[in-house]
Amino acid sequence: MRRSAVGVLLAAALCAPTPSYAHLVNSGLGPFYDGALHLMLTPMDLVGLAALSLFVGSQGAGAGRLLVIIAPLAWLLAGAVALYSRVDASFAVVNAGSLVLLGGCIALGLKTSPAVAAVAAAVFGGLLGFQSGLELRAAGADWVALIGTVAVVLAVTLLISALVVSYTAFAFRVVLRVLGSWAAATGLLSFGWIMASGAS
Amino acid sequence: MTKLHIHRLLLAAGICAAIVQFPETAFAHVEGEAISGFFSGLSHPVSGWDHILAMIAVGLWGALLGPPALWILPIAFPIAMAAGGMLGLLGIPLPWVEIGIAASSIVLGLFIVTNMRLSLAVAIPLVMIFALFHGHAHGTELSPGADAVLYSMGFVIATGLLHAFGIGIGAVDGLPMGRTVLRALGGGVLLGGTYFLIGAFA
Repeated sequence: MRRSAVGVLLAAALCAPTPSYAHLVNSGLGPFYDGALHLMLTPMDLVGLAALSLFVGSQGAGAGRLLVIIAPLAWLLAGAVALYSRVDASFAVVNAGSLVLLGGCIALGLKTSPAVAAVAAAVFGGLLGFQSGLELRAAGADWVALIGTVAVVLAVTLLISALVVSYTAFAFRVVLRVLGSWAAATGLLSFGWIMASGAS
Repeated sequence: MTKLHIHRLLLAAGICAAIVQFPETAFAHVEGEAISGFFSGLSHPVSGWDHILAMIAVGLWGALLGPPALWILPIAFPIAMAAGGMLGLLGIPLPWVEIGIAASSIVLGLFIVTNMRLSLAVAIPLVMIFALFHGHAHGTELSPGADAVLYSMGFVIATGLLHAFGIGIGAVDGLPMGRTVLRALGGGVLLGGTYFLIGAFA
């Protein structure tokens, strides 16, 4: 009888929902983690960052080390400018174009010097960071969220470039170039899509 | 009704009451639009046999040609296809799209049947031209409203997987009777292309 009573009580308890905020949709995770998650949930920014990391990482360990320092810094600076600016435009087309360029370079197996790779890290990291800053501002986020985003940028660039630098087997290089072609193709289609839908 | 029966009945009622609390359609942590974008993109290239045959045939022919065509063709195809898709999205017309799509299956099927070994300088542009037709057809059909990047990613990944499937089938080349099997498959692609060509003119 006691078991049955427990079962009924349990069912009754389950039948009485109260606001749980279980998934933090309402409360959020706090500005830092909101910023970190923002990047993970924004495919264009994430794919662009992954493409940048793949390209610079494929240029060798020296370029990879520069990437880990320069890309997050560029992202932080450009993101801060966007966060506190009054720019009211989307740079999604520019980011799609960046994806085409970076993916194309990876697909072609392009080799550059660490200096050129560092410039690429600064330029593309800055472009992606600027767009990310605009998105954060639109979401009402502040500089703490930007720091959260930059922390994920650091983690992603570190993990991907380390992976690319450490695997030198021919088969892995082929996979890398295939991934580059996929990134470029994704950028091309996105570019057409954004242009067709009238966004700028 | 014994006491035990009553206990079991109450227990069953409690369990049932708990079960009905489980929601059927949750989609709790994903944005509906985004997820439909990715899976719509993933399913688009496999929505028609004219596309499926050609994309598998690219992988098959690449496998027959061997390295470096084996991996260069699947790198070149998605980029050209996306370029075609972009043209289609922007409303830039491309003539004879359906004929080009059918011709891609016919030509690639013929190459597989005859074990045609073209140089990369010819094979890459040829495959890219075919890809342009396929991409343009997809681009003009793309459904608005879904997430552009996720849709594009799904679309490109599905294309790549079809090439990989073709390359995987091409691995039977080293087996006894493998070449015969591949020729038969090439014949199937050729016949399929002919069917689609007739359909394009009908």
